[in-house]
Amino acid sequence: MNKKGFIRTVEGALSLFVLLTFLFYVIPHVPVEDKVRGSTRNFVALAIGNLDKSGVLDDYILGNTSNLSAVESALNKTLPSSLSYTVGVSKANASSGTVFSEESYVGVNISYTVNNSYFKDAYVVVDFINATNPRVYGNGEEIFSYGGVHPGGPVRLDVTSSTVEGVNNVEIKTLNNATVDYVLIVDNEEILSYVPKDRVIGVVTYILSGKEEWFQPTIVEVFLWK
Amino acid sequence: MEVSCGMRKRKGQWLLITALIFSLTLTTIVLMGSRATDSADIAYGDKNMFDNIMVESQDAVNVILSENRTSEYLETGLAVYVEFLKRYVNEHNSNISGFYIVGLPSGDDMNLTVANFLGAEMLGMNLSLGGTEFLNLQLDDGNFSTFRFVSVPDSFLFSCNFTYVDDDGDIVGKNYQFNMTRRVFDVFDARMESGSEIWSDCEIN
Repeated sequence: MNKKGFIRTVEGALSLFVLLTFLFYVIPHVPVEDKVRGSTRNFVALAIGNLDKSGVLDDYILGNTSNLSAVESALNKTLPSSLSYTVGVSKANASSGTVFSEESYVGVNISYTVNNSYFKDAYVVVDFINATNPRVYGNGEEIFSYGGVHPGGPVRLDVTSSTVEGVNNVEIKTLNNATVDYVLIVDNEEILSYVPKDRVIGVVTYILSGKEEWFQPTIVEVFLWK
Repeated sequence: MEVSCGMRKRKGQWLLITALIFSLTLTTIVLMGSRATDSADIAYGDKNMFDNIMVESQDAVNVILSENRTSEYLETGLAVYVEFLKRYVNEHNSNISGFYIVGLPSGDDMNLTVANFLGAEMLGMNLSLGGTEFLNLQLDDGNFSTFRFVSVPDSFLFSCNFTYVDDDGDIVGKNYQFNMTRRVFDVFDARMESGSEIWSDCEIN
């Protein structure tokens, strides 16, 4: 009788332990709680939107240099102090035009320079017009090829991995003389302070097209974590 | 006797089993509830993003023309902006498509720039402005073209219609008609897809 009673007591205690473990440990640590919630990100997005509507975001962000500290200070007035975050900016440095690719794969070069530590990514969009066997190289590395007459339409190519510090070349080669429209965009990113690697980071973004007489497609970024 | 003994053993096990089932059910409910709320919040966030895009995409026209008030420069600027926009939206696991129509006065004439980023060819496009027409035009995806309308009156009726075939193979028709004066104007029509959510809007400025 004593033995049976003891076993039941142990089972009851185990059941209670299982329940308490789930209630106080497992549930508070469900994975979704590791990241910043969507409602918090929306609140941050609205805060940035309000900075834009008040006109200060353009002044802080656009131009030759960005005053990210000023953006953070402005957000500090709105966002709860319990929220950990930092701000960043990604600016698109673009060039575009039409080039003529010489036949017999003599081709043509489009060059761009990456000369700072803020490089984020680079991509080129090419539109071939009556081009036969077009090939595209990023600093000598083949990143696109097509057999036959290309039907046209934009071909988007990421050249980030082949980009190096200094002068870079996107080389276009074709079997025949061909016309190629292109857009080349190099994104440079600056982040105000350290973003922890061991946390789940939520990012809120907001775009700006430019201000006054300065066309400058830009992404404002707020990195959030718990 | 053995059966009776077994029953007695199970009485204790039921406590454990019930505790486990209850705990797992509770965890599942909490998890599903959190995710459902988060999905709704993310959808709301995507709507914020789309609203931001609609406003800035119209501003982009004004900023480009402030730098250089020519249709050639506008075509180039819009080509850059559209690629920037597509990349930005793709980075958020979404897709954007659409088109611009921008009217730009040039003396007594009017240049009309059409920028197609629908992901499909514009078919049978008819443009009419102040009595002058360009009929049955075709414009490839990624194509940005300008049409010149000569001797345009100070106020006029502008109309534009065309069709295109969307990703599902359906034929979509677009038709715009409005009164306008000889000034810079733009039509920006965009559609953003994010998972199962779709946002679309057209702004005339």
